[in-house]
Amino acid sequence: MSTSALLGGRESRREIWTGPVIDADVHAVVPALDVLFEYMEPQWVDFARERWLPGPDINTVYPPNAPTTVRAEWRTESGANPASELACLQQHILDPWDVEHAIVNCYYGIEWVRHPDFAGALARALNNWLIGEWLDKDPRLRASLVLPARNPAEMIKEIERIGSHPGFVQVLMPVRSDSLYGQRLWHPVYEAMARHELVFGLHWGGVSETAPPTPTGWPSWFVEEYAGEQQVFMAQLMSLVAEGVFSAYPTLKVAVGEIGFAWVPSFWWRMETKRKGLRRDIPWVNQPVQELFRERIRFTVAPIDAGPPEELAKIIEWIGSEDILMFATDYPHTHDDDLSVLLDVLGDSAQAKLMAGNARALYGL
Amino acid sequence: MAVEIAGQAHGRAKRDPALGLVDCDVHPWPTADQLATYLSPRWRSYQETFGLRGPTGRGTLQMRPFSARMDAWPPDGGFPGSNPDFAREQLLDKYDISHAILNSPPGLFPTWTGGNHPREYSADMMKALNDWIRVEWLDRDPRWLGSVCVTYEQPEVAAQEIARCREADGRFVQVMLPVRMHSPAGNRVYEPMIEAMVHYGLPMGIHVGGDGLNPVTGAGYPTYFYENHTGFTQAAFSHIASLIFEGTFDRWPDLKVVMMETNWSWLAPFSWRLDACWRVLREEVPHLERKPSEYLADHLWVTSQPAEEFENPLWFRSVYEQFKTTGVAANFMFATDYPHWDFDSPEEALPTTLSQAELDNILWGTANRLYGLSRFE
Amino acid sequence: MASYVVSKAQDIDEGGHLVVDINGRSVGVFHVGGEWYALLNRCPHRGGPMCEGLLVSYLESDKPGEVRYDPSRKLLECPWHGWEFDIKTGQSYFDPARTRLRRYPVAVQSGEVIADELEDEQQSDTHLVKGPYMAETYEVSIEDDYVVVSMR
Repeated sequence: MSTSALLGGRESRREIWTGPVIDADVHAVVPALDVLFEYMEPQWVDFARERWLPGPDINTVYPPNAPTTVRAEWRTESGANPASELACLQQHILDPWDVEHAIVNCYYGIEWVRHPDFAGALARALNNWLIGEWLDKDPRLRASLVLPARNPAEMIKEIERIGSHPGFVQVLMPVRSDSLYGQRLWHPVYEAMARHELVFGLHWGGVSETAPPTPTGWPSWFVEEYAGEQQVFMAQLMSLVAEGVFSAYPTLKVAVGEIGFAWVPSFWWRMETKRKGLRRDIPWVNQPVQELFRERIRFTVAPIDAGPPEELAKIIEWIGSEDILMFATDYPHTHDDDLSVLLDVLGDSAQAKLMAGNARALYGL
Repeated sequence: MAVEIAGQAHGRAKRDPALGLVDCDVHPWPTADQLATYLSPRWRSYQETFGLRGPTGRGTLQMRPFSARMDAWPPDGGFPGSNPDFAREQLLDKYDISHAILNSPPGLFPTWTGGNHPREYSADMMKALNDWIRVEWLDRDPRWLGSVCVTYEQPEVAAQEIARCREADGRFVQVMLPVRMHSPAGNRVYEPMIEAMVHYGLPMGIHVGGDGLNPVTGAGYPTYFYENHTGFTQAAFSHIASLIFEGTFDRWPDLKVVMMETNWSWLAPFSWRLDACWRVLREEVPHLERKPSEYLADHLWVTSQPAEEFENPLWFRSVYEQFKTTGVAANFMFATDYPHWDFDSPEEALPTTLSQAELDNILWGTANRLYGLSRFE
Repeated sequence: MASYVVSKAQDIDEGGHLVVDINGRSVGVFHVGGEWYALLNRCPHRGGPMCEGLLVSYLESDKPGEVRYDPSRKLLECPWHGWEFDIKTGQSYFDPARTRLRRYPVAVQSGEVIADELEDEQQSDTHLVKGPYMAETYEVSIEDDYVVVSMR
């Protein structure tokens, strides 16, 4: 199994790429709730202790022992997730790739918590922890703001509290939610996001326990659910487009992480074909869908999920823009990809944009 | 002749006059009265009292009544799809179609097929629907063929109805399921129904429509008709992942699945993803006998409607060649989706860049082989 | 260009239309907002019967929930796939430069003028078109006005 993230056994990443590198998606993992207590208001620490709260469960989405959750080479002897340690991130990714920057995404399942006040407290503690333990300790890092993505009012409060911190460049929006993200109930959050120049980071994760994760019920097998997850991303992107979020917030941009990009041209062809005849249903979508994607939506390349190189080349041609793809390792998750194949398919100027330029432009780095 | 219109290469599909033309997807829809004629007295009077209580959860506003072409309303005052003679004239005769496969929309709605009604009523309703199809359509014109409509959330009852229809009439050539069910199609709960399909050699036709008693996406209900309609294709991803990873194709090597109205240009990239994910996670599913993409050519058929339109129409050949790498382009069949608004005309929908051999297969050959249509000549 | 008399003006109500066959082409003649339009009854997209579609009002938006709606400006919506075409220009809504519905010049002329043209044997370019409102043979009355479509 080849892989970009391990550098395929190469001595130096410069054998693949000599220019600047920005890793648009690495994960930080909260090892246990009490790690956040130092960053949480005492009243809420007591609240958690009084109930012996274990913290939200992310194991449904990232089962700890699943091969996809942590690459075998990175597993620690203690069994702790390596992404809970900055030192591991530095050793495995930041230093070998000699990154200029990396964007830290910390999925902690906060949106699962219905208690609006504790959810808010948890988000504050988590963001404070990201500042204290990650951003302040390695100047290469930037991060996604973590919000209680169930409660718009609490989300806005947190954006207002800390959204202007220079280390936060994005908001982490887990792909599963109780309501599709294009719906108007979320719009005030986007107003705040746009005002703080934060990117909407649509990312793996989330709970929608009123809905199974597919349009046709619950999958049985993890690989079945995992492989099929593209359809949730599609539903969310279709919602953002159809509900006119991009029209309403002309500066808002979206980064889509951990789901690849080869599926995108087919998806936007389908959307644009239908828009021509159903325009009156969504009249605020007043430009071709593919143009909208090219201007406002970006995709990481972890995974790549590529077919043969000649077919990948077609996908790149149909994407029709050098500005869309962003290099990422998605540390510590496992993908079976070979970055050098993608680099070969891209032209010279597109390579530099992939490896750093597009992320630099998107996140203002 | 290829004509350049708005930069797109279209032209009359040069159908080989020696071959037939099969329309793999037409929608007959009975009025409540028509259906009532075939219900048992017990459930006929129930229906008169309580009516056909339809799906309520979704709340999206239709763009057209019955999602139909505005010119498909028959002169008798019924709604589109309720008049077989009008349909015959407007579709079969007009386009010289040899066979058309009927997929009746009431069979797609779980509230009618076992969700929000007494189960016996649902069972009787599907029986009535199939009888209506047989008597009012199949018996009126030999070109019509039918899909069996079933209470799919009651798989044993569905198996019985499949047997009943097939033994009564060989012109039932497929079983129809909706693209949104309570569980994905490979889930073991549906095994008795799949067994019946395979026993009778009937493909599993998965058609868009309905909402499987679940919200329509993995993040809840969409707001606009546009989203609900355009988003149907997403369910196909979940069904295919299910049928493969549940080992359904390993247990039923003769099972054939026809995915209708969900396009096709997504299949090759999805096959790459299926394989990539399986490479990392294969130990979870040791029961798979092949890698995921290898199942597709033997088990998946797709219909052509709604015809894909690309940003540059000249990309058709390139996209089609990519589709061919999955092996499923050989299983590609034409459909109009009459009388729906996104109807594809056989004379206009397929680009002239297809070769004659490809066109012959799409318009006739593939469906002829799959459904064994030569026995109807 | 030849002229085709398709009906009496009074036979097509405001908001109404008539579909006629002119030289093998199916053409819809519309009477909207006091004006007359003649459009080919064939959608440039996939050949749908345009004139069986709805006349809809101009609708545009830059932001969800806010629309600009102008009933005085009409578009014809294809009864098949719903593409909208400006009834005045034939331009499609979403691709006005390249996708157009074919339209023809149409005017109302007095019966007197037409009767003269029909009588003039040199003038062979004025024709009577058989439509649902016209009998097999009829005479043009000089007291009525008629709708005339021009076409090559």
